[in-house]
Amino acid sequence: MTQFNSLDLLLAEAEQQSKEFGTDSAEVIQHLRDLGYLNNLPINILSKDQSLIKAIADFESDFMESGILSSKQIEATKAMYDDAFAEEMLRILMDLDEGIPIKYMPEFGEMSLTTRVIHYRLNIYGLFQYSAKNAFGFSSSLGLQTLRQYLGLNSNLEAINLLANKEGVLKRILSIYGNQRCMMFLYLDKADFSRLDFKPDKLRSARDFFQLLGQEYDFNANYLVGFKRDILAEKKSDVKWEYVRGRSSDDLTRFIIQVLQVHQWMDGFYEGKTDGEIGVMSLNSIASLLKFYNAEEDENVKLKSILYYIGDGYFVFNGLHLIKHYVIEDVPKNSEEDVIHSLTVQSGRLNEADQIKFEANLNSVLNSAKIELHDRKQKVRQGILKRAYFGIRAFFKKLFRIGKRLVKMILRHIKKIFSQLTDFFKRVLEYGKQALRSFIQGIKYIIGRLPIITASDSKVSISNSEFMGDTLSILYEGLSESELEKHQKKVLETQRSAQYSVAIVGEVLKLLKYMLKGFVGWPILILQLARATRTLYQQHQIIYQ
Amino acid sequence: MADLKQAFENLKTNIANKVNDAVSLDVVTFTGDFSIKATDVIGSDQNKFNLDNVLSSMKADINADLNLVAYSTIKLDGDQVNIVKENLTSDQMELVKFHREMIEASQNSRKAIVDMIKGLV
Repeated sequence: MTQFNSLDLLLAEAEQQSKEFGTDSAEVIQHLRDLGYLNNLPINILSKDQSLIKAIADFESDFMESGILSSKQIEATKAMYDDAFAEEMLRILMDLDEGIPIKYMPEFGEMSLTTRVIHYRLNIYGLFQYSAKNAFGFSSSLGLQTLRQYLGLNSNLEAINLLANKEGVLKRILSIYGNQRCMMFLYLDKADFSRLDFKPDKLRSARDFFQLLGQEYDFNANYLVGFKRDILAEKKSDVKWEYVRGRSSDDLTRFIIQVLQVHQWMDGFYEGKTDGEIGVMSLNSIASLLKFYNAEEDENVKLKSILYYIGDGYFVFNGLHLIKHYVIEDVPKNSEEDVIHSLTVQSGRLNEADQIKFEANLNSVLNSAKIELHDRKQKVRQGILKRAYFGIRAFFKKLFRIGKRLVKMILRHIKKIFSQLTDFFKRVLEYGKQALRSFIQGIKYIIGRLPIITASDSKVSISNSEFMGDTLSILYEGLSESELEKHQKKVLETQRSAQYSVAIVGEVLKLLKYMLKGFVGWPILILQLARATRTLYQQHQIIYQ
Repeated sequence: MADLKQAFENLKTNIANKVNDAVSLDVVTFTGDFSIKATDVIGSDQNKFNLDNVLSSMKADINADLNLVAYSTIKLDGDQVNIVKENLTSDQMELVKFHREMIEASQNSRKAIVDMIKGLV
């Protein structure tokens, strides 16, 4: 195989992948709706909907004025993302995993991008019920006050920025209230029981529930005795109903449930509202999560060990068992790199038959993710708010924890892991699509196929900047000053953008030393692209200061 | 599926060769009275774009010659040679300004690329 051909094939496959990712604006629409720039009416993408064009322009204008990024950061980010700038900025603003910090608290009456982001974050955690575009006012202030109270913080700024770190929120709750607060009392109308994936009456094993409780919580002996007697009582008449009812409706419980719902939502296990209300979806998602964690940890914890049906619609829920999976302890600094390299090395060590199976299984995950993503986009366009949260840090952390077993899990096609991996990959695909475009641009730049062409009527000007800087320009004679300026601007922008693209290619090339038999599938390459984006963010301190 | 390892190896070699061959930085600016169709240049597949094709396409399609506005070559030791067209009109002076901008941008670009690929090849 000649050098030219293999690079051609690489480019062709990368472009095919990029096409499959799609370039429509469903994600942008979703974010613009959440920030109050767009209403929920259906959007006609094909006819270049005017309301969408206006909303993007309004957002960009607000973003430039907001001071959220310095002019130097904006310049660097524009070079990195080119025409996907607005999409990327929306994404980092809406990220609840490692979102961008807000720099100041607004005055009463202010209407800005900062107030929209504050309202959005409060809304997600159930602390603001109005449109994000409203002026900062009494309701905003009340939401912040409640938030500070829940999180035991004195500063509004610290509290609102903590909401952009969902793992940090849980850690804060655990540090303030201790793990005892994670045992929660929940209520579901009995009329909804028929829609549950399990039978509540089967969740009446005081022994199983109590056993795990004793292992995981630091309750004192007296409390445990009282709990068994007053809550897990065999006879309904012995249950302390007043206490159960009180605990199931207190505000802090609602807030903690809401925090859990955000985690479940981001993990793809929950699609209901994040309203702190326990419904059928919430309870079913608890059962799904438990199955996944059992598969992930090679455990066999039964649902009856974490959920106990007291009666009359009331449950007691051992939330700590799930929360401990969300609060992922800090992992080594290069864990993202490690997990991808580990996947590359381990899959490279498989025999040929297993390699084929592994590749096929991994590609089927990728394809399912693409299909589900396409469906979600359709729904967003139709005006159905099918939110997906963005954030990649927790994903890599989780992958790091199961990384050593992941190749075997994929090879064995474990169903529960597969459905979860599909959700994970949906996020990676969204996150990595711009990196893939940069990867393509970087390769073209390196092999000298990134011409810059500007045209006025049929008169064209062309510049070709080579990878090492050599530049050839052929300009149409009689070019006006503004046309020349336009061409020059485009050349300079492309050169800057190409530098980032080459850096992305460089990060991908790092995979080479871990490739044993030459095997690495596109899913792994896409993981590497997503990681490369984060690395570049950090290296250039564009977002994360 | 392409043999990704082979493709990556080739890409790495491609980068290394270009870095090793970069003994000078060349910037050249032409102008001409020509008109070509973008489709002649790009064809149906953007991947196949090639500057040689552009030049031959232009040669075939236009009557006027290309005029050199400026040519600059900067050696590794810092020596610089500049050739600039004589008797420039005011419009052509603008093109020389453009050429100077291209030299500065090319130098910056080379420095940034070299910094970024350190350790890769």
